[in-house]
Amino acid sequence: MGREADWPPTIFPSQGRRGSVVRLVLIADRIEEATDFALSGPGATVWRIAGTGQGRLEGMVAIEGDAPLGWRDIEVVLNGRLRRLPRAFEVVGPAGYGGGGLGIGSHLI
Amino acid sequence: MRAVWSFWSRPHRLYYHRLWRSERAHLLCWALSVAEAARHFEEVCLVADEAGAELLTGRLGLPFAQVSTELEALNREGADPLWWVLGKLTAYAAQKAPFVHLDADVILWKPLPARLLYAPVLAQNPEHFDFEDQSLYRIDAFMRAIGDLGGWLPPAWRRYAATRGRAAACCGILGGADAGFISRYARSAIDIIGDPRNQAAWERIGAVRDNILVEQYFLAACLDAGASGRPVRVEYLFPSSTDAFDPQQAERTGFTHLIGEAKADAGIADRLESRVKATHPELYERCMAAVGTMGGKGDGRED
Repeated sequence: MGREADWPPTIFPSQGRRGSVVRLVLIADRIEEATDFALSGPGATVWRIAGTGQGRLEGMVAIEGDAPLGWRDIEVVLNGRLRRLPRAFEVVGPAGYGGGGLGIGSHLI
Repeated sequence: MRAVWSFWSRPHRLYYHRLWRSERAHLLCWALSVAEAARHFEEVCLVADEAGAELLTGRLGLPFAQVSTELEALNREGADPLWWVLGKLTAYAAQKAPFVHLDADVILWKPLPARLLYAPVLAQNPEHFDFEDQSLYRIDAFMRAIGDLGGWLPPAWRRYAATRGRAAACCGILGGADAGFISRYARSAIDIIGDPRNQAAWERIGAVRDNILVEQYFLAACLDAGASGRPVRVEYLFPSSTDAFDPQQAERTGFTHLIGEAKADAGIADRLESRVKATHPELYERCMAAVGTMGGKGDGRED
């Protein structure tokens, strides 16, 4: 069962807005062993953050103000092999529903 | 009315536990969700797989009057755990009497209003997506994949999509008096996920499965289509997403939903701990005992 959980990783968040910088986190067993980490398509560039711990691969995604809207593949090189997560991160425009922030009524807890 | 929770533990164990700050916070939220709602309903029930039932009833001792392990069938059949919504849909489909299903990250501090208890269908709130910003409801990509790859969708979905319907029903809570309608909708949604003609489309859609399209968008399509030629009335706890996210309205309604990033928030995890410890000390002790047996997996504080 352990190997089954290795892929796909959990991706958080799954979107970022034009003109923003987003911390992108991938969580899966041994994913910190990745040697490369990128997004497909133009307008969004990833800088990997080194030393973020076991099971985590983190990067800062800089999204240009005029980046094309839409889904990007996340590309990870792991054990010398390019692994692609299709349509895993989306560049979005105006603020909307988003990821839910701190949820609904979380202050009541 | 009965309150129902579902827990298909396999998707949680494989993938979705990562959305929570820690397993400790996940279990504490289960305890609070069930313990608070149990004050307001005649009966609280669980639909789970065997491992989920063992955790929630055997180890946490949550006070369910009825426990079904119907979701074990999903494990036996090898259902794709990226489709986490199959657990909820299977629970909806199994209901034969008025009910409300609560997500485990929902806490009802107050009883539901009477207008919801007697409605044919009840849900958390309507939401409307923008075709220019399909970050949550990816309907165009979904329809393209189905169309390009010879997939199948039921008539209600096709009609709704053809009219460019852009409403969905947020299902943090879902239920109602018309259990037959909800069961038919849920079975049809399960058919969509499992239909062999759609499997190539799921591969194209990728690792982020469109669970909420199948659950929440398709529910709006079914409500729009009605039953026996008549529209089905739905009552919402909140009139819109904006109202639901308004802290004052949430407080007046007595409603919490740890949607999205809230599950990972350190402050919320700390408050969950304090709240359960103060108001449900026996449940708190059982949660801590369960976390203790999970070793490092239970306590995410090393993060």
